[in-house]
Amino acid sequence: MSAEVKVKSEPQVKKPTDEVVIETRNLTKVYRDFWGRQKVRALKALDLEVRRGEVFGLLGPNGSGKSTTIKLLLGLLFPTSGQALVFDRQAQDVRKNERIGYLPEESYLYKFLNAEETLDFYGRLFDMTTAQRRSRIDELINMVGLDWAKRRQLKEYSKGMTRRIGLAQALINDPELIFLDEPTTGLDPIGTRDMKDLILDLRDKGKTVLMCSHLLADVQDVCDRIAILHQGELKELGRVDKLLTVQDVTQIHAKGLSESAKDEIRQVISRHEAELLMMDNPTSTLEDLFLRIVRESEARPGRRAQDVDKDQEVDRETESSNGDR
Amino acid sequence: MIVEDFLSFTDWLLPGPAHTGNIKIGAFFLFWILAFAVFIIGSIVCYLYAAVRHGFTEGFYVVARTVGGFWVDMRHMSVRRIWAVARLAIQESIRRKVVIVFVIFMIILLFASWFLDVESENPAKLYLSFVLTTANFFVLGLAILLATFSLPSDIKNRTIYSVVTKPVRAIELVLGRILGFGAVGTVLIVVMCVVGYFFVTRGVHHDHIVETFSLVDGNDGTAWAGVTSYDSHHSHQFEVPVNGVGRTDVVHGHWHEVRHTGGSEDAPTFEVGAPQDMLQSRVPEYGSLRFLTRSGVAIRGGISIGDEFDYRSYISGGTLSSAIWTFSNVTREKYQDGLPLELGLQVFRTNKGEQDKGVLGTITIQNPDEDKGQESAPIYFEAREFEIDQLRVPVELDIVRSDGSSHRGNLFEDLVNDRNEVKIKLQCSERNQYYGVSRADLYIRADNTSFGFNFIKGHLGIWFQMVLATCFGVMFSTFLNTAVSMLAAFGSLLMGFFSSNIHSVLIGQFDPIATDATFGGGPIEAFVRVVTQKNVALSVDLTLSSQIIDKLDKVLMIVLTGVAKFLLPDYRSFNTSDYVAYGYSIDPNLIARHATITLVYLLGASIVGYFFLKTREIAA
Repeated sequence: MSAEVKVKSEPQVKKPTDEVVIETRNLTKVYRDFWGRQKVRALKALDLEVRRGEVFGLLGPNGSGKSTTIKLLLGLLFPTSGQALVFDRQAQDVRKNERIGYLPEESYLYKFLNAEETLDFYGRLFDMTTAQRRSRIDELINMVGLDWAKRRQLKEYSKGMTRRIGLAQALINDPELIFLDEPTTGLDPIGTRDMKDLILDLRDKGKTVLMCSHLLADVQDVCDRIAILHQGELKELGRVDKLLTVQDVTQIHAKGLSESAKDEIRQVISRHEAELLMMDNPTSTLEDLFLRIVRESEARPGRRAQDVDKDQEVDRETESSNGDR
Repeated sequence: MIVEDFLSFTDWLLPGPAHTGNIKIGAFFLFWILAFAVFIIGSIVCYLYAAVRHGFTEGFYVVARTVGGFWVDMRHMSVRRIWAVARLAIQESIRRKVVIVFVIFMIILLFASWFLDVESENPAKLYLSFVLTTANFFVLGLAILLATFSLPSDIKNRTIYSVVTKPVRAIELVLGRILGFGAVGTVLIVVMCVVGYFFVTRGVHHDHIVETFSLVDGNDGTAWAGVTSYDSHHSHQFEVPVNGVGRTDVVHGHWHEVRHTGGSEDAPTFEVGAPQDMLQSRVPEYGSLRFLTRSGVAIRGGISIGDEFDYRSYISGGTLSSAIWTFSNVTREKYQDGLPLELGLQVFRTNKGEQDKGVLGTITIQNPDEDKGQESAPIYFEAREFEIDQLRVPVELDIVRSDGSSHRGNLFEDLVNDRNEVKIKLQCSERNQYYGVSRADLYIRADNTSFGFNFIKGHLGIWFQMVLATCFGVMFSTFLNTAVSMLAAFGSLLMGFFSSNIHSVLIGQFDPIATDATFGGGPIEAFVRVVTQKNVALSVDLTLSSQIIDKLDKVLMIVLTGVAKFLLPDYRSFNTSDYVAYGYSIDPNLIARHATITLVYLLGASIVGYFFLKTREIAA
């Protein structure tokens, strides 16, 4: 995706504001059977607030009520009691849809349409003019990297491609608020990374993102705040950095330290009556390795990746620059 | 052909005496009464449902919000979105290849029947009925399949998730689908119309050659007479005058031109042209009908000859019993060559008479103004059963005054009154034979229009039915799953086709003689009778329970008859194939009426569909 490049060229990063875009009050959903008997209490009195400009993650195991919450906020389900408000409107109000985008869990799209037709259809639903649709479709197809397959019917698409076009349709109206239901499920590592970059990119543009996932690493990477649900109940809510920071442990990354210098550090630590927990060379993640190999192969097709050590240096630099964002 | 309804569009729409039956308020007011009733009943049912779910006060707000939301959504409706949904529906039908399969199937079927050998008195009628009926059922079946599969499969595949989270309104989803599938059906009907036209014209076309002829020295200028070859199960007799261009007699509803093309004096050659008048579109001008009894007293209906189809009533031969039609708009400009009358009488014989001859009758043209007391000398004709008899009343004719004196007079001056009205009196001349007549059995053939145009108008009738079936299919699919909504749509189609039968069953009218009696009570009483093995002829004991059942039944019957009579479309009334098949031009008044009804159902189904879709938990 070209999004990554864009992110870096974006000079202004918009910060979250205090404006509440999503609010749930005592939101409860009970699934009933045909006779009205209670089957499952999927969501119990949820109170949430999502503010403009933040990436909010809903976490939880399967069946914890994440998807139910998103569907209630989209108006696909009606609350049993309580309220779900999006932009201060009831979730069932169609008018809120003008400003939102939704990427469903699996991209439920019309398989008999091709990528262009799909986006054209959704563009028409936003009452966009032909000219607006044309430029927006080109832009989005280019962004999700499906230029080469835009005339193929979606039934021929792979899962990753379907996901990309699903994302494109969610962004067709340049929404202020984007719902992402398991955005990285079914994507390969590159797709996952692209998706995460895109989410951060959207945040930088001042969009609000509400995503739910059970892939914890993904949530950790992109979310500003998270809510952890379990069996329909809210268990934890807060900023990711605060929730995850281990207050009494200090982490130091250094480069080019000699063995004697390391010994010196050990002595300093013991002198201050602190406990050294770990000191060794870090390993790269498998994700990093994989991405590097694929990029390598794209740059120099037909060669097996070599000079791992040398390349790793370069990669770490990229990594740290990414982390700065 | 049976015509029972002669209302013009405005007569039908507005209240007035022209309506038959008890309801004389006209379609427009009937619609508003029904719409109001449906609104009230619907609101009550919805409120009760909401009250059960949300409590009494909250339930009220839920219903009020939903109804209020309708107006908000209507204000935000967008043509572009409706068109987007319609386009999707069209693409869906094409890409899923349903339509293509159907088209191929239909064309094969139509072409297969090219090779049917039609041995019929009226092959044109047979072909036309076949083509139109086939087209009708195929299109209706396809319309229901398309309409009922789409929305439920969207919900099942969850493709609807990414649609309803866009600013698209439920009414746009419903209307768009109706529009899209309607467009597919339209294309299909156009294809069938074109294919059908060629099929019919080719089917009825046949050639004859001259088989035998002889030289005739007719005083009327006839030079040759003869018989054509036996083709397509018939042959013609023909006469050719000296000028060389003659014609055959009418067999199987058509005739051919026979042309003397040359040859020697001993062996002249003839050419028989293509069949004429086989496919026609007559524009009839109907009059109003009154009867005279055997003793000549005016009466509404004729004589009943027993347990027969009560569409026609009868006049007896050799008495004063007669049927009198009054026609208006009879002007000299319209009928310069006299009045072209056509009669399709039923003949009821009480004795065999001469089997291969018709029953003699007379037609008398009368001036409707009694004080003039003028009528024409009787015009004799022979009524043949199952055929249309043609008569032309000449402009110059013998007029008989009330005092018995007669003179040569003029049709328009002596017999048509100032209001351009004329009376035509029909009598049967043979004692003990009867003519069966209805209002539509004698008419003035005012004009001929193009058959092709009438054929298209016949397909318009199919088009209306297709739109109705689509509306109902889409409406049902907003709250039922595929299989059930298909069943419901087919059910409504069947009930719509047989709505008049269902209505008569509901009011217990299964005995045509005892039209007012209700046998066996309503549904609950009928059920009790079944269980207790009490046949319909036995009366029920007057107990408290039977009285309660009777009251409940009355309420149920009102609801059921209301649904059968007023809510379901009477599909059969949209079927105008008989007009085309019998060669009558379809009255524009009728088309206007059908268009109005279709539009009303389209709106009704869209609104009902809107509320069902709007109040449905899509993801549940």
